[in-house]
Amino acid sequence: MRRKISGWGLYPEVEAEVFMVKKRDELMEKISSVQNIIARGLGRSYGDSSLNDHVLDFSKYDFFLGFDSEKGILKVTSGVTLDEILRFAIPRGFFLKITPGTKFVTVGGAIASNVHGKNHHREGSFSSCVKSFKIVVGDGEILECSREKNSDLFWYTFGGMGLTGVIIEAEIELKKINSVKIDYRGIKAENLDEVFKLFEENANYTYSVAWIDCLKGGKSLGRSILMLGEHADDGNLTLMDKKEIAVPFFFPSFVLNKMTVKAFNTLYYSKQIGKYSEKKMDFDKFFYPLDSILEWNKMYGRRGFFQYQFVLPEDRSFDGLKEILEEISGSGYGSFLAVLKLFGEEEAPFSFPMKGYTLALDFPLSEETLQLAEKLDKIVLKYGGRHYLSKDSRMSGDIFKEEYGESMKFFLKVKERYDPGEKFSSIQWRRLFK
Amino acid sequence: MKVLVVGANSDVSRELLNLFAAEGDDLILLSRDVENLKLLKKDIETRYEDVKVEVDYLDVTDKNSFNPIFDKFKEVDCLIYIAGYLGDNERALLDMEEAEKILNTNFTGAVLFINHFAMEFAKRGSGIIVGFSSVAGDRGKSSNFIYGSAKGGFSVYLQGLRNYLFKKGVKVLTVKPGFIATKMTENMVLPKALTASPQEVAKDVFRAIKKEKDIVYTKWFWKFIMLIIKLIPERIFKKMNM
Repeated sequence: MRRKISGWGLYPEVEAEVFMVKKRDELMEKISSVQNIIARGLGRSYGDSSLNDHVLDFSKYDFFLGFDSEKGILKVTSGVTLDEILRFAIPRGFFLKITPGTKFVTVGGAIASNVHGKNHHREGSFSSCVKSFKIVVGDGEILECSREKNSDLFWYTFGGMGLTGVIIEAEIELKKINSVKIDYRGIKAENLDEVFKLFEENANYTYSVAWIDCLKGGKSLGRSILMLGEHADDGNLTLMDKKEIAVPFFFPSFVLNKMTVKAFNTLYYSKQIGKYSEKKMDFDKFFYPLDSILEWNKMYGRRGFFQYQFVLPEDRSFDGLKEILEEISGSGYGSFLAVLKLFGEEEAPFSFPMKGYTLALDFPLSEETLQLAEKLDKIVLKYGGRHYLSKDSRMSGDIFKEEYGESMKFFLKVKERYDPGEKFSSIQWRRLFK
Repeated sequence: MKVLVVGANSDVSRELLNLFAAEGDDLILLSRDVENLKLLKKDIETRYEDVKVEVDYLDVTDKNSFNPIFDKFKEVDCLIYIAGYLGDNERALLDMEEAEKILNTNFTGAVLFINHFAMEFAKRGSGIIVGFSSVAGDRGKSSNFIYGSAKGGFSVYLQGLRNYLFKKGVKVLTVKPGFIATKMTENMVLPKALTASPQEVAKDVFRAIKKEKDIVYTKWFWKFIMLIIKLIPERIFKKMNM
């Protein structure tokens, strides 16, 4: 069925033929009969990664295929969501080893984006919990991939944005927990200098992330709240049934403006009164604060928004971030939600993370913010950093190629090997790789 | 409890199966697509370790496929007939195969299959029969009256069966869904406010089974919509574009 679709940022929007994947034989037939295919899960990548002429919608292909409770290994079809896995795993004393800031993504999408979470510095990105997966490649063959088998395809599929093939099944490793709660510790940092120091001092925490007020300039540039967490150990594994609320309509675009974002940031910073705050928190609130507001992307109005996430090498992070934050606070286009995190080493060769600091911002879509983003691109490049493809909808191909350099060339070789006819592509592929 | 489901690959069925499995009920899944049933079996048995799932081939339009099922599955407590085929009304008017498939899936096959278990349940003096009819069976309209007439026939059958089995301790539930967002309707543009998700329908049906209801409309307001539609005099109704 042909209809209009977009990523989570609501921009760009394109008309595509959307094919609901329900059965494997129907899927195989579809793959063999058309070109320009991309797989799509819940459509949570922000830009154009899951957009193409033919889109394979995996959101209903969600079957559990087996669970080894000794080893904590779960086998699923690729449309199973992290939300479903948590509902299954938590009562059994397990948790996702790696989870991004939303649980509304599919396993297939998590692999293609090689998502990361608040524990990247300790436990890596999604690849570190994937034992194996099955993927349909360009000639229609189904290949099983793991660290031992078809390992080139295995590694380059992480962060490969669905361009190496269509993932249909995966085996992932869960980790043992003994509570649904998180022992939370919040620390206020008055500026960038301090938050860097705090990240380094607290590197042994499993989870760490900082909310940063990017409208503050001068002495308070980079004021932030560092949020740390560990799984609690109280034996409580009962899931609470929560009601989600939805943003009922597109907010008019004036709702989020310089004034309201500034007010929000000030309120948020002042919410924690002392320097330190400690509490027990529900896992949902700690990992997925935005998931309780379904369709929060409508807050930016009908025109949509874009996310801007980049990483800088550790030794150049401080100078680079300073320059970028100065540029943003000078422009006045503060991001409503800005998140800073220190990554560890990354094992997957063609993935976004690298050892260093990453900053994620979102901006409502406008001429001015797009111009700001282009200015920031140059700074990111100057400091040897790179952008996260799952969030990108606007970067130029030239910037991308410089950023990913050698690793992109290796990626293209693997793609050539498994999809020589370019059966799998996306709008992002044509925008960046061509 | 042991629950047998005819047409187990549907979206509503899958939601319903999860509700039964969560209570620890064992399941028998029947459909033409056994491969997909096997996937469903794996899924349910992984999510609910203590539930036993059996799967088998059944084509409701072919009564020769019924006997092996009758022989194999003797102990059933709850029978759910959810198989359905909407078809294409215009095509069915010209093409006997299409018309026959609509009638057989929604009515003839349903009656022949359910009769067997109705008699078994009656002999034993217990059991629940759940039949998925449709609001389309409440009044014939130009856009889908072949499907509607089969569903209407099915509704009357379930009504009579309920009456027949009442004294024998067997319950019969008629389910009348309105619009549901499913595989059957994925290419139709449905009014959002009137359309139920498969989860909503499954929850309504599950509750109706537990409460031993006779008829359940889902979403609930279809009862009133259909009441009004049935009240429109025929001389006016025939001129309406429905």
